[in-house]
Amino acid sequence: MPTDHPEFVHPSQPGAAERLIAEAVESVRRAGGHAVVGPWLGEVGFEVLYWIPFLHWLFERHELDPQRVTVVSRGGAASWYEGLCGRYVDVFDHVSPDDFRRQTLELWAETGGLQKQVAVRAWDERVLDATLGEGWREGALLHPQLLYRLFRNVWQGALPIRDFLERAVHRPWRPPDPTVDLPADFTAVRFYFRDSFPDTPENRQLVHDVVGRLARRRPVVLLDTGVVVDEHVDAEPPPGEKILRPLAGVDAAHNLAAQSAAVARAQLFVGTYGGLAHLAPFYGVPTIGFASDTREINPVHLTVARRTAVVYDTPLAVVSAGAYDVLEAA
Amino acid sequence: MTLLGALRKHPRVRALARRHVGALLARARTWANVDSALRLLAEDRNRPVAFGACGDELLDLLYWQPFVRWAQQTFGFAPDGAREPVTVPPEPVLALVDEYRSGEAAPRPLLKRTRHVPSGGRAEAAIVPWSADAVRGVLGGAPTIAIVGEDAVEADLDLALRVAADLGESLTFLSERHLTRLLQALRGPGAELQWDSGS
Repeated sequence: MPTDHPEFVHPSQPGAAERLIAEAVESVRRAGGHAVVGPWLGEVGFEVLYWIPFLHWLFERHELDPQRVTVVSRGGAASWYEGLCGRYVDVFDHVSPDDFRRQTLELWAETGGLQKQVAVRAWDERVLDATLGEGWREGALLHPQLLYRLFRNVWQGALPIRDFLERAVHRPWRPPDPTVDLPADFTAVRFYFRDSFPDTPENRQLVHDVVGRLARRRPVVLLDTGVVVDEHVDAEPPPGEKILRPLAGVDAAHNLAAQSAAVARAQLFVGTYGGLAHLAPFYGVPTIGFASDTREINPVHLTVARRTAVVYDTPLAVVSAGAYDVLEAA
Repeated sequence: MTLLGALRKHPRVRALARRHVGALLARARTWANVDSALRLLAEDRNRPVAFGACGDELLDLLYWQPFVRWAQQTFGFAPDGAREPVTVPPEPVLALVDEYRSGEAAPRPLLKRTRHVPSGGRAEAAIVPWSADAVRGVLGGAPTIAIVGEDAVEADLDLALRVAADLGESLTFLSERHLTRLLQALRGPGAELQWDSGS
């Protein structure tokens, strides 16, 4: 994540966070409590680690009525927003995954690689028009830019992590119902390549070895769905009798719900650090996330992920191959 | 420039201030105060600067030594010579570190003034109690799983994660109960944690 991107770097002003929050709350009150939250078009990790706990805090602290709120997100994230909205609308019910991916990659190219929704851009407005019609313009909009404006200086180290933690509330997460048959006992696995776990022969071998080892102990359920909406490329684990791919072919509008349902019922989640490795602790599932180049991770995320896992009384280990070997041998 | 500003820059005033730098440091309430005191000391090219010892091993490795390294690199103090060195005590710096450790202060001012460097060699990957040994392991390039107790200072853990990430090393924190639960999820309910608790 390029948090040194010019649009991300802003000096922190005393009282700025309170002003931003007050403006957002006031806009909702002016709209009679009606608000659209979203559209969330970015990464799973930020959505679960920051956005949703912040929304819980915002709603509870300022007594906003969730029943008057419409959430727009993508991929079947409805269950994540339980208690936060009266209505959930999925982007993929209105925009094809191919269009979504193309528009997203074009936007990243235009903004010099900035993947965060730091402003309401034309693409956000097109998504809202497509999902809600033009009526959303009449009410309040709690756009993800609020999150980035509030906490970008936390991610930059210019404000204490406490500034986020004190504005986060962690509620129990109820898993969605599974849409596919799952074994009674299994390890959920999702490996993909990213900057902190790049596509190298060593990491391909690691995925092969780790998944093979896991499958000797209990069935492995790969969470790969085949849905591609960003730049991440799945790492291909080895074939095997106990390596199952029940989610292959799940439609885009339900892929996150299907993955959530599987993760939540697993005995263990193992995969690339990020995204689902942030999600699994919310369901109380012990988690091992791999990172082979930790220089590519903003350490604030590691800290918030660790502290969040503690809140959910769930072990989360972010490891290299060497640290994983220690776990295997301990 | 104000009269006070001009006075502060006068060589004789600065020489006088240098003689009382200990008092200036003792009164330091901000990192800028500390910077000013160190700048004063660096202006005397005939007087070397020494740094006092920090009695707490963990604070020494995580905060004081990296601060000393930064100060020496940034200010380029006079080399050791015939004259008695001026000693910079750790207390004023550790008082500012305490603001960060309390969770009140942003990490950036501290991060700007610390240099953590690999220790050289290659330490063995290990599960260790959260301690100076865990920090040594990270600085030595060892993938480290540190077991934290309830008395761990969250900000220390945060900084250690930053250091590990900056150096490209692997560090993860777990309570003993969570580590046991993770091992049982990984290897089966019979898995037992075997590690050197250091006790």
